[in-house]
Amino acid sequence: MNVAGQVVGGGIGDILVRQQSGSRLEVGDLLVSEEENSILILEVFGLQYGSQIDGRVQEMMSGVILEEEPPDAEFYEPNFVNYVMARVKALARVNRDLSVNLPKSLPAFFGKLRIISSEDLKFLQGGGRDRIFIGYIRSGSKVIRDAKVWLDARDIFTHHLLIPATTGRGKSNLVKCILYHLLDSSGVGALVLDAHNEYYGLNGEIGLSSHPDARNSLVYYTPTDPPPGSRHLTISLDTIRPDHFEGIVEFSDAQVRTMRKYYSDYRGEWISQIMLTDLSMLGEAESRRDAETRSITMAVLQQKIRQALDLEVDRENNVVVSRHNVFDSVRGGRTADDVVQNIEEGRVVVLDTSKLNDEAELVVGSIIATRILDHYREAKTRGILREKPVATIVIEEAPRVIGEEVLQSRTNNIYSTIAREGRKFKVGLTAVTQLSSVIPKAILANMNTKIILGNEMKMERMALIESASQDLSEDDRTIASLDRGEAIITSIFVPFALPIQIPHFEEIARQHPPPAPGTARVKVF
Amino acid sequence: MQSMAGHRPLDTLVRNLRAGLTNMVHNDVVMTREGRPGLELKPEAFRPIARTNAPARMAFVDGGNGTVAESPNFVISLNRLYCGLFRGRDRTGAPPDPRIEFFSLVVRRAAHTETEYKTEYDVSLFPHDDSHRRYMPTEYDVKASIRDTPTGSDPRIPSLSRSLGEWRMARATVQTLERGDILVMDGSLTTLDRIESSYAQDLYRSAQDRGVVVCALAKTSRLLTRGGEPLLDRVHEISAGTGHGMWCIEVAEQVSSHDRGFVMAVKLHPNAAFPFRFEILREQFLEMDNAEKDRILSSMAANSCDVSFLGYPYGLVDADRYAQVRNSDVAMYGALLESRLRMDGDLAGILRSMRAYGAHERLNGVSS
Ligand SMILES: Nc1ncnc2c1ncn2[C@@H]1O[C@H](COP(=O)(O)OP(=O)(O)OP(=O)(O)O)[C@@H](O)[C@H]1O
Ligand SMILES: [Mg+2]
Repeated sequence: MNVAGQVVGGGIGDILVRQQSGSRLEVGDLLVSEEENSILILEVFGLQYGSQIDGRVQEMMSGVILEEEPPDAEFYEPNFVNYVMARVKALARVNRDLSVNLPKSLPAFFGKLRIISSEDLKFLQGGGRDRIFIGYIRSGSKVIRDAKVWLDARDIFTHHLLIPATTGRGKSNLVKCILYHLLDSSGVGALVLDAHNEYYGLNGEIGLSSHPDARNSLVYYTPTDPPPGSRHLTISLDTIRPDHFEGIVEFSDAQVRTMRKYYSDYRGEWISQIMLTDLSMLGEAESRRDAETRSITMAVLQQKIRQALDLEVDRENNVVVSRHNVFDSVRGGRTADDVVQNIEEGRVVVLDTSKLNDEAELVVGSIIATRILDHYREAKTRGILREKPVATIVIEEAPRVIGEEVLQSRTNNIYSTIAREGRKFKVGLTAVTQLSSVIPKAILANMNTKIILGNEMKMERMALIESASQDLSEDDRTIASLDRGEAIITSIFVPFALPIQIPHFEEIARQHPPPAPGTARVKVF
Repeated sequence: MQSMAGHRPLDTLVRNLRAGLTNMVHNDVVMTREGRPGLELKPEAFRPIARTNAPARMAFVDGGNGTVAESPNFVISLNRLYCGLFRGRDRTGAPPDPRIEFFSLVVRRAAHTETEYKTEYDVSLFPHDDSHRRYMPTEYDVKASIRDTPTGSDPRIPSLSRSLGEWRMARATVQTLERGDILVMDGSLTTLDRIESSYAQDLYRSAQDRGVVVCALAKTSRLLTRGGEPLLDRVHEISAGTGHGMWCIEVAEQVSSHDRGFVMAVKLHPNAAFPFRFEILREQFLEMDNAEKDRILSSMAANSCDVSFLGYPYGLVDADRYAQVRNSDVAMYGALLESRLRMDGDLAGILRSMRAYGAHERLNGVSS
């Protein structure tokens, strides 16, 4: 046995281990204690010095060396006298039959611990159709390539997925990897609002389009010049309803009343009608004061809708046009229906929203997401929800729609509705964010899988630790020190918080097809 | 705190001390109790110690004890004996049983005769392993040793088993050593009674048979010069004029009839803060040539370069580390013992007398 250290004290959650002098433990290292009918997996969360020598004497020794520079002075048995103590917590007990329990007892006193090996992680093994590969188990910064973590896509996407990290730690790369594996599964459909147009892979770049089955399972919409095999992103203005703006654009009560009235009077034409209304023609039969108010309300409303959807009014032809071709009153784009259908067929749908402003992007998402939720609600009433794939909405900078401030100042938006009750209808949110602390606790706690990447902001880490599915109270520093692509998965679907290394997307795309299910394609919880 | 005015006993005390201890006339020969006079401590008598690349193997022996429980009529001690092997800075393996541990129980009981009231002692020793008895004194000898002590309540009683054990441990160690090896005892070769000197004698005989040199090194010494100055201080002062970094000076062939060592003072590292008392079994020392003396001293110096205590043999630091009985050990065994006593109805009374006896400790805790 390759001994890494020996248990010398402590208690549950904070076991003290003396490091074997050669082993150079790292924070995050996984250790194993071999017990009678099981193994105990432990994780290093702290390192400190230990010594047989009293602190004052150590200072004196240092003084002797620094001040006297004596010849022939040495440290006798340095490894024996001064050493490193690791603080360790037990993560899981893996039984002979590969079942996993939460550990409720301590490893043997003076028991020897060794570094984990892929053999110890056999319990991760198993096959399955709708599983997606997330990454390799990581011990400190050492990646255990044989121990792969696959999660059940249906489980994690129904119960919402949160991907928090500060910038540059690998959120987009992770999303890309996850979506890539989703292309292999028909059990989950995804709507991806791709604000940076970074997922599809244009101009020969590696991206989701590099997947061998992309033609079949990936659909890409872009407003202009769609490459071969992809489609035009056009949303017909007549598919938009006043409630699609809810919680995204802020309207006054008077404005909302006006919108509702136009919607009931003109139905699909309501936006055009509002936009084309000539303010001078308003309120002929009314008092001047009322007319003034109404025209102000209308002016502001026009302004807000124009801004939100990036519209322009072509006075000559008396039509409303979209500056980026997305919203259309003439051609009658079918994007919304198509998208919903594709998602219901388990495909990954990427919308290039990079040319849209924030609000327009969210409104587009809102139109589609509302439709999906409606369909799924109906499917549930009709008792056919089981037949549908799980649907997930992937959204960047999630606090735009589920942030505390947004939710307090405006009415509910469709995204927050999904976060709160989508689970019942198999519709989930995949929220990517740099700021988790501004998401209400109730929503955070409901995001039952979190793939936590590095984060140097204390407040963010605290929000994540408090809402994690496992006890991460000792992992604050670990999270702070996660390198690019290093992550911790905490989830109600894993037995303990799994430290992982996320692969680089290009590596994943290049090695496709992935190993066949059942052989090296491992991982089940 | 006392007010600063009025009479200040400490000031008076310091004045007296100055009068008594300064301006002493040097008389640089150690004061001996009996036997031949010491040697003159002069600069020319210092012998430099050279470095060696081939240090001898050395065995360091030490013991420790702690009182686990006591009452007016018994005392239970935990005793530890340890031996470590080094060559220069390096540990060289370990003896078969490097560290042994045993409990001693000394019970004082009344033993009347027709003519007098007196007390007798019963001694029992309890090793963890019966095979360890060969490193331990016999119960009979401990008892005899107690009887030899001037008063029944000698403070040595709790440590007697340990002291005798050290000689036994040393003898057992010698039996595993080879010609030319060096045995170093912590402290001195002084013995306090008849039994102890016979234990020491057993060791010396074994060592001489096997050609193993017996030495002892003491951190402190109460020896004085004839001028009344502390020996080691005075020697240190005189050494300043010699220019030697590491040195040895022979002090006396015999400082007391209870000590079989030839006494020296040594400084084992140029940066050592002070010299130590060092002795070699007299019979062996008197037969040594200078080369042999140098071999021993150089070997000691080669083990004394650890930064934690420059000039003190690391082997003794190590032995102390293992032999020491710490307060936490005593507390743990004390608690174990108490729980066993409590389970035994007949012994509940003992518990009470232990508690009463321990009351002063509790008082110390309260009032300090
Ligand atoms: N697992 C990984 N292995 C290797 N390189 C990675 C990994 N994850 C990310 N990278 C690289 O790190 C850089 C930043 O990654 P990425 O764009 O995914 O970060 P991000 O968190 O999305 O940043 P932003 O906040 O700017 O969106 C990229 O160059 C990417 O290729
Ligand atoms: Mg990104």
